[in-house]
Amino acid sequence: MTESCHVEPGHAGPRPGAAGDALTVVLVGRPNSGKSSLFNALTGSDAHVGNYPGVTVEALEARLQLPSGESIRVIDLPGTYSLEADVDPESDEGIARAALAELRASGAPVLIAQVLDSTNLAASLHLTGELTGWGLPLLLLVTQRDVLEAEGRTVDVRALTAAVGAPAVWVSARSRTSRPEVLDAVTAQLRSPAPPAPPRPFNPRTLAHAALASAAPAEARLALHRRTESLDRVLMHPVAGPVAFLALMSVLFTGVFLIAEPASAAVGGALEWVGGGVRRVLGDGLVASFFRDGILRGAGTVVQFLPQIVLLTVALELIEASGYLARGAYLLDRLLRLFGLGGRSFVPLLMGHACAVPAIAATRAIRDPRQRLRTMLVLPLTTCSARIPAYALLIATFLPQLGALGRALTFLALYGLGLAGTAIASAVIGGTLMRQRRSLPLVLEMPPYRRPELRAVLSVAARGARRFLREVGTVIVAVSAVLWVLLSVPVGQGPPAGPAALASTAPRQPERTQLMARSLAARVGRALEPVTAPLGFDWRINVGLIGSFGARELMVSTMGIIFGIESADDDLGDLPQTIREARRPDGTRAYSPATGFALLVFFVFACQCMSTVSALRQETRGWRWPAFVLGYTYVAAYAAAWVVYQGARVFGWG
Amino acid sequence: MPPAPARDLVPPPRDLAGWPLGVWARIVGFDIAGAERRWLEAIGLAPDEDILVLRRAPFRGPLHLRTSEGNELALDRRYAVRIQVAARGGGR
Repeated sequence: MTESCHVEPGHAGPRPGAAGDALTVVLVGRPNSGKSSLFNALTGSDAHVGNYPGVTVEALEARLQLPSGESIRVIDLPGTYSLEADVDPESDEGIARAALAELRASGAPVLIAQVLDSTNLAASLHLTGELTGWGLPLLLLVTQRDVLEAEGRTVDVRALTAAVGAPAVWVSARSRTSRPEVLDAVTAQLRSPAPPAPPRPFNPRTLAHAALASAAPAEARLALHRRTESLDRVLMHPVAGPVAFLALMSVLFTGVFLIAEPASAAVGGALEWVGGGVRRVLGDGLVASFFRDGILRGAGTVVQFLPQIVLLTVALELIEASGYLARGAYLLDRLLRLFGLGGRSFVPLLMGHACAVPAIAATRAIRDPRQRLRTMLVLPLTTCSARIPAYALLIATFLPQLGALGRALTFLALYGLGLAGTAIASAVIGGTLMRQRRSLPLVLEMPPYRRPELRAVLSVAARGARRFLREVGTVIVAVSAVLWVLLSVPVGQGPPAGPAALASTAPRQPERTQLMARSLAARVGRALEPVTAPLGFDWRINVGLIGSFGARELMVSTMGIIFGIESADDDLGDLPQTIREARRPDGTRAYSPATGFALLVFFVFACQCMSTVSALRQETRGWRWPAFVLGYTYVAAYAAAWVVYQGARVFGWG
Repeated sequence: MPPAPARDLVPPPRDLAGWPLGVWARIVGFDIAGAERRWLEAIGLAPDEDILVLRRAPFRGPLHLRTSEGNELALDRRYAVRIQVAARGGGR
């Protein structure tokens, strides 16, 4: 058997359609077939999510140059088990089908490259049978060559080609030779395009056995799964399984934050240095302030979050690539079903603990449209990483007596509160809005455990970082700029006792703070005082909430501006103490621990993220659901904060 | 040729949810409507497919299955009660 074996099935014929267009190669395949690995091997990290003419759905795409010089476009469609079975058009499979249909209708040159897992050939051949009926040229990319060869088995590529009527290549996505092998096959298709393979009936199972040289004896088949089986005996055990799961999640989150903390601090330090440089160059005027405190501060906040986002993305990708993710969905399915969700909601809910924006897109893997919508609507309640600085500030301010353990436990309690909120919200939304019908039953493939490929994981991480910068970062910078205007441009006279009420311990820019006290944001904050007084908030906290309405990442820096503390980004410095000792016009303390608790709880529930709103609008194609999310989360935040504030006062913390 | 199992050791046909662990079964019937059934076939649960129940999650949770091709699936119990299986006959 030669290295890369592909056989042309017959005579060539001109491909109808716009002859001058670049060829579009569409990667199609079952989930877990190694499609993404192969796509990464072909395109590196150049891929981006594209919206392109003729196709209204998002898909990963990249441009490549063939060795022969032609430029092609490669699209990675979402994994799909079948193109014929009825699926919801909004789900991953519906999207794959729609994209393929549109590409076919566009008339441009298209080549379907189906990725088949050679360790699971019969299943993939089921999809092949469907693809042959689409009237498009087909190329079979049979993967996992390294795994099969390690067992001493081979794939008879000629038999596949003869039965299916499409050229086939046997590769290993992990090997460096896969890229040239696949591109050679594509080039061959380009040179002498095969006519669309006419549908030939074949039995996937029989063909798989024929192609896999000799049907492996039962013992060899079991050997393939021995490692998976022994791991599953623990990881899917009714008791050990959930314990291992919780342990893994704890290690994951703790590890990520332990590493991300110093990284963020380092970034913060660098930004301080840049800010100082800007001050030296531009001085202290209004424009310089806008650039430094509006734009740069916003951008700095974004960059400081990047280490966390990237690390959590890497962790998630490792979990998925190793095969453990499906086990997590299996373990959680019953519990999630209690709240009207299901095992497939596990991935988006887990991602939401990093950032809700990509998590909302990840709900496309949920087959049941109602379950998908419900998951999207409760995602804003998961404790995303942007809440952490706000929590840290509030805990340092109102619970200064806590040691490291106490702080960790408080964080844990807040995470738990977020999860509880998510569950309750899902149950309530289902019971009221959707007149609950139970979600589609779970059917989920459990892939064998695999060693994740580092290259692919880093690729995904890079994409995640780019996406965060593009979708969330831009919003944060924009909100920061708008906030600067609201906080810095004085409107009318301030309150008579304004400056006296702000007992800054180290006023570096008292003039700035006085300006802020007369700003539009301050006026709105004061106007809102009657509304938020039952929660223990005053106008300054209201301004902080106005600031974090667009992006909760900006809470800490906004509070820094309000209380006259510069550089409140990475190291909180004097800010907690300043807030704690802030006084009202009459000299009494402005805030009690009860206020702190209420504010913490407010942050647990309120959807303070325009990026999330935007992502919801995109996924649900409308403003109704984003508006609903804003509405219900703020109502819940207000109600919960009220209960906590009044309750804390009863217990003497007021 | 391996001896056929003694009659009283072979479980009678029943739904998949009630099938004993570790005993191979063959799918003989589906009580599931067209579209969902086609999807189940696509993912690997087809008539005449051989299935092994590896474990069941507690509290009527999903089943962990393996097919004769070596595929493993998590299957909701609500589907498992609507799939009829019988003992796999003979050697394979």
